[in-house]
Amino acid sequence: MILSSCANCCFNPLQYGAVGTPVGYCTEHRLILNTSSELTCGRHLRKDLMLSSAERENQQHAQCFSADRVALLRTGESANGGYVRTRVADLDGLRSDPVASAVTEYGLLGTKIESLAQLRVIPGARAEIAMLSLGRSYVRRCVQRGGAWTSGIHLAWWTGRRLAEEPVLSVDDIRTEAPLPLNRRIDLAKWSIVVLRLVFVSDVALHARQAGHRFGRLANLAEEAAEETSALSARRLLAWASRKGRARFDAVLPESGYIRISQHIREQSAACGS
Amino acid sequence: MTAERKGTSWRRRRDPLFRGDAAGGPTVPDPAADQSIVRHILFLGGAGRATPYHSTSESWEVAQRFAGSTGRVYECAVLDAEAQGVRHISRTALLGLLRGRGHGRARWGSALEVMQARRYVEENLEHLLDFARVAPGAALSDVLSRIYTRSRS
Repeated sequence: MILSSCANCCFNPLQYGAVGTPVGYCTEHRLILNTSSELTCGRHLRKDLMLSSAERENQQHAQCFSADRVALLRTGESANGGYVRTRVADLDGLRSDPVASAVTEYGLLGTKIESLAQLRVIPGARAEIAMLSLGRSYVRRCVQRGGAWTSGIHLAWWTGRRLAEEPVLSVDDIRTEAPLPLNRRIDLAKWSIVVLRLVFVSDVALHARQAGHRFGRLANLAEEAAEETSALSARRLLAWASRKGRARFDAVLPESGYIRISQHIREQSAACGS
Repeated sequence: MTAERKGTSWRRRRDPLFRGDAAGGPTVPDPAADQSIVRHILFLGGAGRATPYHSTSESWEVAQRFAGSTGRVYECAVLDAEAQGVRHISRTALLGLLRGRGHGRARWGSALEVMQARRYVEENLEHLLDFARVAPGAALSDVLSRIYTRSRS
């Protein structure tokens, strides 16, 4: 049940599995989620699934829950003040954290891609989770609205560069109690973050494939990683990413290709602006 | 509350399984529903989807998380469940099934989704109770009331 809650939704970039802040934040409804694992809405987009599966689940979920309000997952009733908060004082508390600050201001002060770029330079796994979560919803929405797959090109490039880097996770980043040894919990959390990188690249590649670009060859990158690494181990997955993942990424998007696409986007923007 | 916290490993004859569910009682399973284990563990199919399984945990704390603020934690003994025709699929058995593209009823089209399911089983110390073989016509609500009690932990 928790998997279909706000705790596992791309629009709540502050939490992912065991990692994150004690409360979540919904960038769609602009609410602090006090009990994110008990809440949901019809926009729910699962973090833990590839885009095609997440889309299918989103459509089924939207038949049960309204997109316009956050509701209790168990009863469907609207979430009241005990479950969600909008007060400035509560937001101020959240904003003392740099990742939460960037998330609560997502798309408000500048463009969304500027917010994502801001998250990219904040060190640590929580900032990366936030960037990847919001990045998934950002690219999906751009394409849904008729935009090009290249709306995700910078995010994909940044993610590709760090594909094989060990996520920087501290004990303070673990938000839930669990009966597993701490080192195993951290290992599973790191595994899930590397998977999130791979899933993000696969998402963008799926859109690229539909546009006929060779970046589309990475549409199954996350699936290939799972098939080719048998153990649920961050170390093994990172080794795969270093040995094979990066090579596959570089084969379809070398730096020269990235620069060419970036220049094309810039020229188009300039033409639109003139 | 958890066998592991007591410094021992969970044993089916000795230790209970815990389930977080609605305060009004455990959700009634559907013995005729899709038997895919990955579909069940990943909670695919949306809210209220039919499933022949109940997820349970060795850990009371995990069950409490699933119960949330409005629900309740229930507990059951595996031997009591088996006496009612309910099959127990242990965590160890699940971890064995959830490899590659899955085995048996855990066979699935996506290796990534099998791995995610495996992660959840490990993180939640999950066991399944399988109601698919409960005798046709048996009143499932009666079966549930015989195997579950409210947990006081």
